[in-house]
Amino acid sequence: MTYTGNPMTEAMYYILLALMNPNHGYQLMAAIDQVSNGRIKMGPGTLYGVLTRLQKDGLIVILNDDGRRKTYVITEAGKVALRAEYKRLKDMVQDGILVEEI
Amino acid sequence: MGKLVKRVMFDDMYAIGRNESWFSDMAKKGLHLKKFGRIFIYFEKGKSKETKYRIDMIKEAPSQEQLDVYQACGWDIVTNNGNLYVFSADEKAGATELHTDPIVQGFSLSELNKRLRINLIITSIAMLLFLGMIFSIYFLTNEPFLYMIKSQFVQQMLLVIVELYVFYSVIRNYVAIRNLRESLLQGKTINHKEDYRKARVVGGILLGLVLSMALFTILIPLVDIAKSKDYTLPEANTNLPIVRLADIEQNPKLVRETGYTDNEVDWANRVRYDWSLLAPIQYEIYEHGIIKGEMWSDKSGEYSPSIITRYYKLIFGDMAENLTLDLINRHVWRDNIEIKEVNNLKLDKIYIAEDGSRKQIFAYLDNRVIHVTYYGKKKMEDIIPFVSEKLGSYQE
Repeated sequence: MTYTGNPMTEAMYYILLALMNPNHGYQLMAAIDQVSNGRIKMGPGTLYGVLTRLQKDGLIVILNDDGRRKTYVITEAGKVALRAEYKRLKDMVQDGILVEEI
Repeated sequence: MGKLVKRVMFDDMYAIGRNESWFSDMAKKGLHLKKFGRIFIYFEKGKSKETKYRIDMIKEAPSQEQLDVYQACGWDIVTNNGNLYVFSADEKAGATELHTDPIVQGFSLSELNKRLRINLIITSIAMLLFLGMIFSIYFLTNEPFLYMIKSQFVQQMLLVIVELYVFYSVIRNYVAIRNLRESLLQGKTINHKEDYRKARVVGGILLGLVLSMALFTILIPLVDIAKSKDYTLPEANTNLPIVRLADIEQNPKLVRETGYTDNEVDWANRVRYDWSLLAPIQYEIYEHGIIKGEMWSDKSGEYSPSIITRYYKLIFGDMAENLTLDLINRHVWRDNIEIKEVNNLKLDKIYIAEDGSRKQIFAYLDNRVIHVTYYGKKKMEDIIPFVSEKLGSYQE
């Protein structure tokens, strides 16, 4: 299943975000925890589910695999998707500014 | 290591929520999941523990690094069956939920979903071919009743039921994963404490029924082989449902003429006994004689009359008429031969067909059917009383 530009799930978004810097499994979880200010506690099943899927869709690649651990990094296509999602979210927040006036 | 305890997988192996809930309840009873198969599940006996189980679909075998991450999050790998991996965590340890995003989990089932769908399509085609084959036997033959009692009809029907069960499990697999995937993609998480009892009871009853039918299916041909036999027809009086040649011919010069002999059975003077569920007593009896010094009417050779008797005792008397008609269809093969019904008080019905020296009588009484083929010079009227007397009074 390729990424078709539908809204990303939160997990996909944060993993792409965290992979702006090359990273591997466990540290990635910590990075997500950090980047979301501890708001996101991602399950390991979800983490690897997303990694498999993003890799298949060409949004991330394995930068290095020393047999012990794999280091992932975002691809250009991944950056484009991430930017598109960022813009969508930003638009959504902007549109929602009305809420503040209630 | 504790003792291994085996349990049957009555439910669908893809009923993820129900199985997780079952494994947890077993752990509470001190039975900890060890191996997860399609048919059997193995548990190791130990102390009661509060354990959470999660069944996860992982496309490629997880690397050590991946398993380490799972473990760091509190999840230990227990076992796997193909791509289905089972992880466990101590209920009290407060491990992060294995899947925190149902949509991602839903995606992980896409491939399995596709595979099970293809499986279902292939099985459906095979099933259609199989059913078509079975039913064409009955629809294409001109003598369905004869075929039914001769062949292992009941056995074939049982086989159909067993096949249908296999088909049902393939559908069940597919529906379980399809529904689960859809509900995950809608953002609904799996209910890890889903009630599994009802599904296990229903699955168990179904499996039990099908297994007993399968066992029955295996037993029938064995009974058939054990019961059927061939032997030479004794020259002395027998308690067989037959009219003897000597009774018809009334000629002291009649002697037996032996035919092809195999396994000490004289094929011209032979009793073949057979069994089937629908017709537990079936005889096909041949008798052949010769009268020295007497010629056939057309002078074609020495007069050698013979008689073949087929006798069937049916379970269902309602089949007698149809079986008789099938026998007529099978054994009266020339179109110009007239089949006449003869009135008879003793039997339910008698039909006769005459073709030169070949005289055939088909009759039934209640659940017993007889077919006599006589080759000889005696007249039809001479033979009918013998047949009607025999069928009317025959006791096994």
